[in-house]
Amino acid sequence: MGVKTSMHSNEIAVSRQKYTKRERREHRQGYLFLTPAIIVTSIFIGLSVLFVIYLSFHKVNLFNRTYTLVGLDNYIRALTDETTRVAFKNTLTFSVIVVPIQTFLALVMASVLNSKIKGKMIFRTVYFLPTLTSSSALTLIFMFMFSVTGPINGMLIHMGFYNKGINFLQNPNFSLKVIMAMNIWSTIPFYMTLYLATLQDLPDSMYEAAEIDGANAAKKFFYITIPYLKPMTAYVLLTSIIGTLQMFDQAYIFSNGSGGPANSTLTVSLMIYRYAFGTQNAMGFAATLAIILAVVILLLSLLSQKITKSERLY
Amino acid sequence: MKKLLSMLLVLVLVLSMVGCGKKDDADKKEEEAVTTEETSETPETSEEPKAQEPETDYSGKKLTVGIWGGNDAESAALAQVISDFETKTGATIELKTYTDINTQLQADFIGGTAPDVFYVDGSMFPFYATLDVLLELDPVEMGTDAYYSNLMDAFTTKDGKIYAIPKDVSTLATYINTDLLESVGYKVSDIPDSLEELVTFLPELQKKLDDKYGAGEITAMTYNQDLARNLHIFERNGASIIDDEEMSTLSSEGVLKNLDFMMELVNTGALKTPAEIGLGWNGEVFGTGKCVIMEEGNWVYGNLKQNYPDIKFEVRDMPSYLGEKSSMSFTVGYAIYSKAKEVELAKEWIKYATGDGMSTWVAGAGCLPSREDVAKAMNIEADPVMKTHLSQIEYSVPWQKGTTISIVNSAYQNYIPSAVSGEMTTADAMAKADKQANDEIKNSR
Repeated sequence: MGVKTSMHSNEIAVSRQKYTKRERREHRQGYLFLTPAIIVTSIFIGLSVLFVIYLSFHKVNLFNRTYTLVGLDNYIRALTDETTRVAFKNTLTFSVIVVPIQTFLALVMASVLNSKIKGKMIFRTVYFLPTLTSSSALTLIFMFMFSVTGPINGMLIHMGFYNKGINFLQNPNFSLKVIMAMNIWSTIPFYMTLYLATLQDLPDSMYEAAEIDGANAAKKFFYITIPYLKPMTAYVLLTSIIGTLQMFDQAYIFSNGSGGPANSTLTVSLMIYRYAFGTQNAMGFAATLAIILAVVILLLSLLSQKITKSERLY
Repeated sequence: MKKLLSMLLVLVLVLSMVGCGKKDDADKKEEEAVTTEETSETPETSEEPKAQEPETDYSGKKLTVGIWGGNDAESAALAQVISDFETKTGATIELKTYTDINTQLQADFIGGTAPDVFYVDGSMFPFYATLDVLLELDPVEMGTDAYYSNLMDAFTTKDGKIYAIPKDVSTLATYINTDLLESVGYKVSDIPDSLEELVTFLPELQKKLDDKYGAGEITAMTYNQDLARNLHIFERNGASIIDDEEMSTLSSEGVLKNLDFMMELVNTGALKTPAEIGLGWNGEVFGTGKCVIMEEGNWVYGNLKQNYPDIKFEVRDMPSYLGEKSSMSFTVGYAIYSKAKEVELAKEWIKYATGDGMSTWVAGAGCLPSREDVAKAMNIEADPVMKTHLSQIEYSVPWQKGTTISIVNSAYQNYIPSAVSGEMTTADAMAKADKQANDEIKNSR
């Protein structure tokens, strides 16, 4: 009882605390340092977002600056449009498949590279290289690799699975999966490096203690490594969800801007691009799609944050 | 004192960063306000002129010209035309090279920073003409009678106003690999010159190729699943891929009939797209000896001569269909920005680049002149390949079809592979393409 009361009075004391002159000066300096970032962010991001929200409620012709208010018309059209549904389905499928595979494989690779295998440094360097290449160059390389006469088909034919090559690029069933493979391959190294950095802090004594208790490699992985990395996993999940839901450049190069065979590589970002820079002055509709995508990303990010709430570092 | 100095230093740093931010605002703000995607500003390259005895008094004036990048030969040719013009008039030309002209030029129009003169692709012209960003040109002043009439029509709006002048044209013709052809026992004259006869000829050619080189090694003929190449077939007999409201009518009866004929050719198995062969474009397939016949534009001529000199080929007219010859032509023009400052100088540039300077440009870039007198003066017909390409101009269909053509083409390219693979009938595939294109158009209106 006594303890509670004193804690209670401490809390009141904290909330009514007056800042000293020195602290107020430091706060001023802090705001001063923040000012450039605040100005730049509020103009480029804040004002732009407000303008996009404004555009989404209008039919817009930016060339002669006419804005006709149409209320929720754009939104209703977007939510009932068949192609939009396909685009969202593609984007969400892409995200749902890529994010878990990416995260898990990055975890596994990081824990392998953290162990006492020979040639660790070489592996780390080699495995990090895909992150350094531009995604456009990677897309072109993968398009060559998966082409009808490319190495992958050559391998499949050689191993006897098929007689002629599969046309990965033109087949709606395979085209998005090729982009998924490419995305997983190119972003695993980055997340692997993050995990590796976190693993440096994990003391060896924990593994040794587990060994004494009779744990094998798999148990050590699942009961020590993964729980230790949970905070980093929360971050990785968040950034990869946001990144995969916005995927544009690979789909654009792959399908030459059209959205692929039978709309199979049409992502929401690609749709927004086509409406925004098309020849029909559809900037209002593009803005609507952008807002809807932003809301979806927001909801999924909040969901991912909620799931990993207990483990946040920040 | 120390604290004062450090505060001053911080203030200076903050102000300089804010200053940098604000300077870009003026340009970026308009762009950022417009797009949610990235657009990159391309650096402007300026030319240093050596003005000697200018004929007309434009010295000290600067003209901005917007172009898209080309290969080295094109850049060299354009640089030559520019320096000749600068010598003649004493003006300075500043080039602005766009990497993605359709996106970036739109942003420039919105921001009011478009160059005075710029390239206009024939297929984008209908769209630009609706935006009030092109200056109307006087036919008499610009001498429009000198240009080929169907090219001039491509830059004239429905109410007869002219907004751009064609600076060159490229047409499609048929290229034949004579070595490959003769190796399986045919002569060039054996190849029929109508599409209907090709339906029987191509499978025979393909069989002989398979027997000699192995199945699937060499294709008889390549084609493209692109309205930019197929349009002249689809619009035969009065069919049209769009209606009066510019909505897509790919599944209309007339278009379907012509499309079904094209499918007859494709279903022989002797016609393949470069992607199905695993290469990038027709030129690569032809140059690496993987096909015998291709239909390509004159831009491939220089490419073949330079990169694949071992391939011996002959160029012929495009095959006729339903008794009529046709081809596709692709033309680019110069237009003046409606808010340009240097209007007179811009007109001088256009008159020069599409007049005296055209031969320099055309010779360097490997395309065809858009006016007959230049074609005669350059003696284009001396080269049989270019002569064939030149002769296609008069019955070629310019690649242009209203403002919705790119949407219709996207939808077409989306669904035609399903029709080719047999997954859907052509009627179903085109109905789906129509629905997609029309939904997209309706969403924008």
